[in-house]
Amino acid sequence: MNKSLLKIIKATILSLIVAFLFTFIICFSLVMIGKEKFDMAIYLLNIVTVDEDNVQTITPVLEGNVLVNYPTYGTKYADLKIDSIGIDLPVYYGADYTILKSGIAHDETSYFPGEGGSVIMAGHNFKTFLANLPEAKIGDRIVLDTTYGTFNYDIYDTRIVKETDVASVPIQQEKEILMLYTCWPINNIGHASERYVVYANLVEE
Amino acid sequence: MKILKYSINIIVSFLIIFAVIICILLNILNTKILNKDYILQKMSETEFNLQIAREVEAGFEKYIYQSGLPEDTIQNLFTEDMIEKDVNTLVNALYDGTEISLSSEEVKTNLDNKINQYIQSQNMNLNEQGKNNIIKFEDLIVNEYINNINVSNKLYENGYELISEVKNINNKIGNIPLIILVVLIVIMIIVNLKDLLLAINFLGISSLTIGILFKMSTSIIFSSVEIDDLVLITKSISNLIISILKENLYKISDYGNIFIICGITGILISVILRNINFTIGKNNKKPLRRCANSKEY
Repeated sequence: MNKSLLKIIKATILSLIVAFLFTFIICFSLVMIGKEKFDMAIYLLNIVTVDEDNVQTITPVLEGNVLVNYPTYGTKYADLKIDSIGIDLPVYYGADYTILKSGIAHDETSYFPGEGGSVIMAGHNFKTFLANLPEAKIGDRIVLDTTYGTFNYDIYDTRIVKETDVASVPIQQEKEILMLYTCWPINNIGHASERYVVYANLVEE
Repeated sequence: MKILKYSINIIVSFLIIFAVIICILLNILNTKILNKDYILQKMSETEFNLQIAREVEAGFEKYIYQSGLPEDTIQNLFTEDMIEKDVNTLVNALYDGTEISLSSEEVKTNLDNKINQYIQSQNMNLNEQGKNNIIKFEDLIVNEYINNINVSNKLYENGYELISEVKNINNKIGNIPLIILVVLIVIMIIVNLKDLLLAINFLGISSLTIGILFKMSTSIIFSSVEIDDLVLITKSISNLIISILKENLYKISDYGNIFIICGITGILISVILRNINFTIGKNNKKPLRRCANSKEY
């Protein structure tokens, strides 16, 4: 009886070994044939995954005119104030309609305040947002109070441009200019095809 | 002879593994991915239409704030039935290649009525520029509706081409893997005709291998990719793909469990019966041999 049991155990173990050997051979062959493709597929799938519960908020720091740690997209990082026309609004990094509903949107393709280039910001033309913007005069001050410093700009020009005229809000890194715009005309009905743009120079203090 | 028999058994059981895997994958492809009714059922489970409606409304919001019109202008421009009809049109386009025709005209008419009502209520007189701005606004809203539901015409054209190609290949393959599987099992039985328990043993080994492979592959995928966080094209499409992916991966994992259980059972039954047979046979022969050797017999 013991001998039979021993044989059963031996035969079972042998069968299991053969099964695992089969598995190993197949896995090894698959790895040899398509490991790179499999890794690439996993890599691509991981690129298109977004863990919304685990978004980290980073505090930006300005070193010279280089910003270390950009704010997370969609987060508030500054307040925009134009005392002369009573504007005090939060500024969010990024420019999509959900941000535009909350405050001033900082175009993510432009530079940050303090980086020495074009800073492009936009806001809706509601009464509580930028409806008063056309009342701002040349010489009025715009203050950007960011989490990493305060930046003052003086308005030197205002223009009404076509919505498609992107050349009117150029991206450059020679001089720090704040370009703040809203839809025009203010009491428009239907699609607003023009923009009211305010241009302001950084004031070194 | 014994070596040859074992070699054939090993080769055949190896081929059975591949045949079974191909049969199962083809079955999933046919009954799930290439099955329009399954996709519609998954759409219903993942509340695809409701999600699409939310996306369309969110798309409208992009334009309402700059339009100077009240927020309720973009509300109730479409109904659930319109969305369902349009989604079904797109699924038909994807699977049957039918033409895409969405309810965009109805959306435009509803929007136009609402804007006219607002203009009349406010006693506004619009100039040419104002009228053009309204036409542009209506076009943008209609495009937003089409883009949110349709995503891209190319997606459906390419999708239909791909599905048709896969269906063609699938039709060409037909039941060949299943026939091969049956032939392989028959070969194994013929080779082990005198010892069918050995055939069961090798089938058990194949089954166990398939089970381990299924369990391993699903575990690797689940541990390497955060499937729940996948973002593909839109939220509604992502939810649908995540749901299909997860269901089928779980199904493969369940198949893995079944194959492991069947494999271990097959191996144990064959091993136990083979050894018990051997023992009984030996015990039966012992007294006979003794009798044969004795002078009394």
